[in-house]
Amino acid sequence: MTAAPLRTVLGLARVEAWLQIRSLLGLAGLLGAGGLIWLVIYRTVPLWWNASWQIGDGQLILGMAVLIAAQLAAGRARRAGLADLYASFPTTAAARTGGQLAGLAGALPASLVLAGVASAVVQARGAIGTPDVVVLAAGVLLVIAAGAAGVAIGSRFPHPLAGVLFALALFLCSGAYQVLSRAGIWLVPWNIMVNQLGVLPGPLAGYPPGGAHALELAGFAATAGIVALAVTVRRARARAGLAAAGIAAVAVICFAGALQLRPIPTTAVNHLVSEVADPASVQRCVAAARSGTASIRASAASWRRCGHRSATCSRGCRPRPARR
Amino acid sequence: MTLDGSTAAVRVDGLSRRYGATRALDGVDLRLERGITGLLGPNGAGKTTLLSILATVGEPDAGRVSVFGLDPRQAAQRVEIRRRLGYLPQELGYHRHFTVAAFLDYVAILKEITGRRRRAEEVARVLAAIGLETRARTRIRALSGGMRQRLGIAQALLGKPDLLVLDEPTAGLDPEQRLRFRELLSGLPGDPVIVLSTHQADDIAAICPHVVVLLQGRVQFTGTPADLAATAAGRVWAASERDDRAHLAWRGGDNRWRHVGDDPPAGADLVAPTVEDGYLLLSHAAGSR
Repeated sequence: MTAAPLRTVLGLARVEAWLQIRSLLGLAGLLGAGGLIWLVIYRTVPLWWNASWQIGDGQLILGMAVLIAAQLAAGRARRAGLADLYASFPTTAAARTGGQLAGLAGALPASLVLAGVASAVVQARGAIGTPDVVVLAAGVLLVIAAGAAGVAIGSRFPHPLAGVLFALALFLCSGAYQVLSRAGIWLVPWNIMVNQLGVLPGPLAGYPPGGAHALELAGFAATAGIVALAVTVRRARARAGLAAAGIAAVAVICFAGALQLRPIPTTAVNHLVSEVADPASVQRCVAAARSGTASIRASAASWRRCGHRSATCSRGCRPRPARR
Repeated sequence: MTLDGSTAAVRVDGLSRRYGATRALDGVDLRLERGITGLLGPNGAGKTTLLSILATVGEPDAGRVSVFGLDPRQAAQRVEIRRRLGYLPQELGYHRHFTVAAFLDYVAILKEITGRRRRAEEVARVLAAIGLETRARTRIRALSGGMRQRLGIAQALLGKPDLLVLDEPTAGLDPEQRLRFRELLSGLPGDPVIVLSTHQADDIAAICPHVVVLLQGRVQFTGTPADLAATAAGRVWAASERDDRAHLAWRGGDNRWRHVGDDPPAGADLVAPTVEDGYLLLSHAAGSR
């Protein structure tokens, strides 16, 4: 890409990012995602090894909103009857798509605010463990991947309902994994794992693999961006390059998916079994300062909350209340 | 316009375009020089198809186009033509939730005017040119149809193009705005090549040194407005009664019937023909073939 088209792409990206930031859809997604995360975490004392994933799941709602907004933006010219005018400009359709993909940076502030505020709330509620930054970053990647998918969809299907339908499909794929076939589960392997984390007494080192999860989402984002560009690029050499990049991105998804589907190492399972069999061996006592519900708060003075990986409990621990 | 085309800025040779069984353009040859060329023709004559090809948006089935010596079939040259082009399509939509200034700013980016300061200056310039400077912050959905048409003209003027292709630019404009539009086109700097299609023969007569009449996909006339009017010399009469032998007759403001045809009505006075009369006779002749 020469200097003039690159500057054009950056100029378009600036406008699209600003539109994304000011999007009411984005704001609605942010509020919806925040509400969902709160609904999931408010009942019990959160566990960071689960809460990081729950915050990531909440980003899905924001991602859906960003997908719809990006689809609307990408299909804007055709919907408004501006296709002929745009075709007369020196800026190619591929450069416009590039600008829209780069403009997804406008979704970053909302995603980062969501991750930051949710993390702060979780921490303020006395979460046990430590946050997994990679998993939290993966949530941001999920939003970007959804936005890139929106650009790809809008480049091909400008109808405003297309984005809504694809956003619902994304929600169903990610949320209703129980009804998916094994092949479907392979696409969203982290879903199976996440719902098991809440019953664990402590984190399993490297399980689920947050890095692989982030890598898979990055692969999804790259694939969606490549599809969006492939719809608009005409030059054979550029198409060949995109095809090669697409193959690489799919390979990354496959690799990351396989990493996430690896069984838990035997040593880790044994360790987990011992923790479950003898919780006191990994529990530590923390004075309960806060509680999510009034009934629990009333008896907080006599409660001791139990975490993990501490030596002994000198003040007589009681097991932590069952979650959900 | 030149006949041999040796110095023509835009050359069109044997241009043909079909839409299914309909032949929109049928071997069109044209030579356009700098200045304003008016394109006259009825609906379906192929004007919009011709203009879209000149704007590098449409592609012909056969024939060649050369714009400033550049061939739009070559990708790199096509982009170079587009850098020097301003285009107003016949049916132009808008991003209704954009403000006027934001829309023009967006189009300016698409026209590769990437410097912020230059873009702002350019947007201010075209807004002033079409008299919408007080509406810069108005959302497009709040504009009247005429204002939107002026906005369409404004976006075409961004970047001071060398080739302006305007498809019915005066549609929807009130009389004052039409006069302002004439003033605007007449005063454009740099002497660009301007091609505009219109149904308003008086617009052609007022501002176009060159006129092309396109009928049934073929060029039926090229010349000056005076030449076009002259084709009707001796075939336009004014009479107190209507004569049904006329191709077309209408009662004028002086309460007399103006007849355009081959046979003079009884007791009629020969009157000076206009561009409109010449166009009507050409159109009638083409339709009767």
